Amino acid sequence: MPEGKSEVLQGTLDLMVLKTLECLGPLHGYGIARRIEQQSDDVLQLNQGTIYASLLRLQQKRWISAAWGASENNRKAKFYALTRSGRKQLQAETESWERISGVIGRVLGLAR
Amino acid sequence: MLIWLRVLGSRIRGFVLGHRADDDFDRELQCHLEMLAAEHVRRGMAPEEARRAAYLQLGGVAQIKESHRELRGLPAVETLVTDLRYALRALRKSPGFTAVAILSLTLGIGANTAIFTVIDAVLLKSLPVKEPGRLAMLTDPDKRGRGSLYCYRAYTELRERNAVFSGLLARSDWDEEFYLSIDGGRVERAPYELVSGNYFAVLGVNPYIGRTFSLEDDRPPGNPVAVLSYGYWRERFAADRAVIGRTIHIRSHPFTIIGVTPPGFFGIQVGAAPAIRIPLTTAATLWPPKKDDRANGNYLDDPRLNMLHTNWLQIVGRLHPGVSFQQAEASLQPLNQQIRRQEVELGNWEGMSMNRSGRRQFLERPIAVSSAARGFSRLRQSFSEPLLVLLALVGVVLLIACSTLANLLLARGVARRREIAVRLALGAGRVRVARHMLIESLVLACVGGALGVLVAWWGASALIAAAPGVTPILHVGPDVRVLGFTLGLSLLTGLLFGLAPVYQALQTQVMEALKAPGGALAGQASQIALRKSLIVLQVALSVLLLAGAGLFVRTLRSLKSLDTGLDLTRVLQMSVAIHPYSPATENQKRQYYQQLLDRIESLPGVHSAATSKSILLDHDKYNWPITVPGHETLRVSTNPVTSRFFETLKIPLVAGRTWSRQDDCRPVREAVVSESLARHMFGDVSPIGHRLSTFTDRSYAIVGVVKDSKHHNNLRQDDSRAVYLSPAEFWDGGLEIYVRAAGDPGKLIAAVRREVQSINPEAHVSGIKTLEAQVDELLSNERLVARLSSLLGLLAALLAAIGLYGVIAYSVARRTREIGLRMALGAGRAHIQWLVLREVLTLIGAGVALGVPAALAATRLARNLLFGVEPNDPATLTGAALLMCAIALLAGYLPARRATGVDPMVALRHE
Repeated sequence: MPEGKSEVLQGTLDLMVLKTLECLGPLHGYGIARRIEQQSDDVLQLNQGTIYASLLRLQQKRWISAAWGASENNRKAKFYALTRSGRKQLQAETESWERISGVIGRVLGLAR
Repeated sequence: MLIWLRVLGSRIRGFVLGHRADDDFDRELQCHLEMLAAEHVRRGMAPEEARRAAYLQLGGVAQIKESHRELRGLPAVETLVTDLRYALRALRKSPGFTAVAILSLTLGIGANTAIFTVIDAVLLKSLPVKEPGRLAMLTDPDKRGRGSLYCYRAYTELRERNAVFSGLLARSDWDEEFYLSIDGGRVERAPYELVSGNYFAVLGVNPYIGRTFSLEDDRPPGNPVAVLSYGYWRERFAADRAVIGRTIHIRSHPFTIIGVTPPGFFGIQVGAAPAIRIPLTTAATLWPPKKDDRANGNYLDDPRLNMLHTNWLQIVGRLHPGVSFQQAEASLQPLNQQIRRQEVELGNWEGMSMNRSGRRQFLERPIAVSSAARGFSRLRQSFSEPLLVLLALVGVVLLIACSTLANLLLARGVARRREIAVRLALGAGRVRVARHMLIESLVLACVGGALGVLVAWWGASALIAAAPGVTPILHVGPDVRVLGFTLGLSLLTGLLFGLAPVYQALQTQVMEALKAPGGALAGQASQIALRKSLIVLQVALSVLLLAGAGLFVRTLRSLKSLDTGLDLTRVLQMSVAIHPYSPATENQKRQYYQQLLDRIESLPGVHSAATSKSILLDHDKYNWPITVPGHETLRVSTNPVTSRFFETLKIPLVAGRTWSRQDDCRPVREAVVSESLARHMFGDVSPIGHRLSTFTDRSYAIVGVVKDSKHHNNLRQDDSRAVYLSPAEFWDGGLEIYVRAAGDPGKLIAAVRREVQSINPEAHVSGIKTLEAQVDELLSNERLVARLSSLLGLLAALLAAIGLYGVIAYSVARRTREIGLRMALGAGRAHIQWLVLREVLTLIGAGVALGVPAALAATRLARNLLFGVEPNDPATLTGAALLMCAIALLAGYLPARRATGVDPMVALRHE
């Protein structure tokens, strides 16, 4: 693994996609990928294509919905939006993430 | 779980609408690339360079699409579809093999399904009523699950005073037909059943149209109303809804039709289909007590309701919720004892005398409660063993078909080694290749199974039609259970014969197979061994089937040549009844029959004619209690007959006399007994001059003794005890007429029928046939088993022979070089032939050595079906083994002969 960069776990990517959609509202795949890269200060180097597997998984679970629309510079693009059950899921996952990372942090002696 | 379902749902949608989503995703990716490229251009890249960078950043477009597609649909199903397509293509490429495989599977699976259909209907299926599992039958302890009969009084007492049943129903167990007329029309016959008022309520059966009985209908003297079965309603009344309110005359009494039962409902007697149901208590109207001039005793056709000890009812109850069969049984015992004590005290014994031990037995007999979910059935007893034997036979045949197919597939697999090796070399996984082979087998099996269902549909009906007395009654056809059975069997079959080629495919050595010259002939030793052991198995199973067939054929032959004590040739038999609606008195009826006998006897070609109350060689309805002073009452086949009866059936008189033609018309009470009854009752003393009585105090003088003869429909049963009564008072109801012809009795049918109606146009004649035909019908079970087993045995032997031929021919082809070499070195033809035949003989020998002990063990299970031959009959076993050897040797000889035709030069240059 190259130093300073992390591979993104499948479940984690899904969680980040959900969070992105919560923050920014309906967005296309490119926008989501860009945002995640920016948010992580380009530490997470996405193979941007993988975002689509994540989007499909979330769609199949009906946590997000998809519809064609027009982008900011008037291009046609597919926009993804958080559904109500997606919002609920995000909340639940965020809580469990915090709990687990807290535990792991303590075990690894990172908590200050 | 909900999430999981959502994902599955959208994946199925994706699977179905796959192509549209492909385009959609293409556009989306395109969009992504454009936006990414635009971003790069904004940061100052040249457009061309920006596009390249965009592609890089996105990752492999093809891979992304592929994984997206997999995620979208159902990849497992998609591969399966591909595999199926591949299998179908492979099968299409060898139509000969496919046809043979499907044909043998169709027959094998079809035969199994047919037998299973009948077994399911007769032995396994629950009654089509509400919650059949809660129905319980009341029986004697030794008759659990089979059924005992109770008298009306016992039934009402049990019904009113038990605490464990929510309802207790009763039905008459007669399995007879009424002579009846509808709206005063022609006489016809229909099977009927007398049922208690709560019969339909307890079973939870609602009327299809009209209404069913209520308790009110069954309150004595009984409401003259009738409920029709759906089948009868459709056939006789063309499903006319206006049937409600019409009148049926039964024994001259009008009954009003009030309803029709739903389709599929046949009652609680499996194999019987009563067309008409009437309330129990109407029995008192239909069989009214007749005052006898001498004593006020009851007549034979008594209303059975008030006769305490006439057992004619089957009783079934629905258990209260929460009550188990054991609890019900325990709770009924005190009540049962009370009822029995009362019956003994009331003491109407139908004119029978009962000694002390008989009485004690009666008093102490407990009542047993067992499940009635599957109803009652006579078929179950007489039919279940032949059915299970047939199931075993067709099972073995299917096994043989499986091994034949496995052998064929192995041979095909050898031919396909190259193809498989190429696929393996190109990177196909062994598992995938093995799955292909298995799917091919399963496709074959499923096609065979589907066609087999059609065969079974026809076969089950044919099987039922071949069974005596069940012809129109049992409804069999493919239903969910049968289809499930077929599917399961097909899959099992496919797995069974599909495993061999899978094993073979897994063993394939890529390099060897690709290098092997010609590819085809380089089979491995282990495969040859496998194929040979399959042949041994086939030979063994065939020997088993042939031995079984031999035993059944011999059974049929010994039953056919059995001495019935009757001269069956040239005898015509028919049932004749006078219109039930006509107010003919018994005297008029007697005159009618007398006149009829006279007229028939005066026909040219008629030797003699006689009437008989009961049908010969049928299930005995007339087992009357016969009492001789000083002896215990005995139930014996009792038959009132006219004087020429003995002459007509050629039953020789041993001692004394019979009555005369004039006596037929006079109120004479005389009896003739069979030799074995005389021996049983009187020992060495001559019975002539003694008296016997039946039912009432009426007594008959014994005037003669005749030779024993069979009268029951079960020819194996030893039932020669019989009493024949003078016909004086038995002209009521229908009678059987027997006619002895001088020539072919079949030619008399038309003339006799004319005479029956010329005297009284309303008279009804049915069941005209020769007595030989009647006996033939009796043996239809045995004939069916004998024929089917012979057919299956020969089929099995043929399949084994084909398999043997295949293996030996292959082995000869493989050894062509070796044979050529041997010939070149001077081996003679005989030597070469012996070389091949030795292989054949080894296989046959091993098969027979396995088959004979297997047959010895298996035929013992069918012991009850055999007659006049032992299950381990050495002649039959030897015959079966020899027949198998002969067939197999013939099959092995052909390739052996071909081996000698090998040209050494060609053989050595071969390859």
